[in-house]
Amino acid sequence: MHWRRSRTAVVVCLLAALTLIVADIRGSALGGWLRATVATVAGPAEQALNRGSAPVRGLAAGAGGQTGAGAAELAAANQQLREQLAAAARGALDASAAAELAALAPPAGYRQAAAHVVAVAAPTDLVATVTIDAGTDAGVALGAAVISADGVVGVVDSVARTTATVRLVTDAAGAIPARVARTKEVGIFRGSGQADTGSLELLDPLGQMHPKDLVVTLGSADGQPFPKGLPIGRITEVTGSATALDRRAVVRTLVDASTLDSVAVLVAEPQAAADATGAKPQAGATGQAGAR
Amino acid sequence: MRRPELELAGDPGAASPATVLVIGALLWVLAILQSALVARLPVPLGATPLVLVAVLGLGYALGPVPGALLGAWAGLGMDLVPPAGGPVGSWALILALVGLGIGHVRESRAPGPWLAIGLLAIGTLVAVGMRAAVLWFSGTTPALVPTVQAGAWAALTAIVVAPLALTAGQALTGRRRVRAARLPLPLDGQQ
Repeated sequence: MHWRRSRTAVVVCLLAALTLIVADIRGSALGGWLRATVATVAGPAEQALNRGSAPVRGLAAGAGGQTGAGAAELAAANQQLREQLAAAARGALDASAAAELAALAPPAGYRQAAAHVVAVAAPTDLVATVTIDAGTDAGVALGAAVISADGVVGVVDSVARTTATVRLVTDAAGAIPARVARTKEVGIFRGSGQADTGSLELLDPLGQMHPKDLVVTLGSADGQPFPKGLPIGRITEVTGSATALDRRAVVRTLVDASTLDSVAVLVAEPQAAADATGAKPQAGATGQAGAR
Repeated sequence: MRRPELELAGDPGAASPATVLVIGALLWVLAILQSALVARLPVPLGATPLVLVAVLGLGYALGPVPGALLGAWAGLGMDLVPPAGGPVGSWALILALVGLGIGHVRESRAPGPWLAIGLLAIGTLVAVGMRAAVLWFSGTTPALVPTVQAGAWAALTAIVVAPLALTAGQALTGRRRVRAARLPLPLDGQQ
């Protein structure tokens, strides 16, 4: 290779990368298409690696869980044990996880496509995304909601034939319309970039919210992306004062991104797409009833 | 003691197209391994920046131009291999720049092996900082605490895997040096 004569190539590479970035930020479809194309090859490779490494990962997660002592750490360790159980019975959903997911009945017009996390974004990526092993073949579509037995996981960001990339609720770029379950106060939940925290800002600066309050999805007229009433997390702390208009609550999400494994994608049934919006508000109510 | 050898190994003029293709493929395989295996480990280990360190090691061993080109290619892998997020092209730009940078430092300062390990760790920190900057530019400011944590852990784990990357880079250039030594004429100007 004539490296020394390739300085022009370096300049071309840098300019091409810059162009890609700017095009992507301005909403070009090229980046999404490239990602979906690469995912058709890299996705199955990640699935295979995930199957092969499940026992080792289970051990590593167990070792990590023993270091903490507080209630939160114990809860995390608990979830890790559950994930290890699921990892042990690879191939199909672990019976208990499947039962828990089934208890979260999908809203009318939707069915659940079961999936596992097969890859996660590196911490240095500074984004909270995961790859799951369900794609267009399983009916997964862009913008579909992803849930777990614990609560809301995220939204499908890009989809290939057998895999999909999910942007987690904890991603710093995400914002979900939410409400405080007890007081019905409406607000916006935003991710923090950390594995299990986010923040809630109420639209009404004088609205009531307190530590331990459950935060759930607000939902929308057409149930997109989330049906209403799905649990997001619990308030751990309220900061700022109402008069200063900068009051926000720190929310510990029910789903811990670092130990996430079994999830379900809400897939719209064909008839539901044909039905107009009339039936949809009811759909959310059904989801809430199922979650009880 | 090994410094003269490392310096001798620095002329990348003769890397064969086959070698470049193999390195290119391996960099994408590393990107897949990073998401599917490494990033799923608990955090100190999970933050190990495999692709970043590989690019920095290659830039150090082969020089600024191959460092930049292989960096852009590896970065494209990190931008596209699922579950990649953020603007497409950001890692390509960042890894091209750090590959270029470490190659230049190597050429101008000729640091020894220990300093090289430090350079790889600093390069990792710089890359994470640049990633945060690109995300900020794209309108999604990453939170400070996770960014600093990710950068610090990545730099620390980079120190652990840096000797591997540097040895691999040296092996690449070392083989070529032996081959070149067998030729009766110097290679300069022929490639």
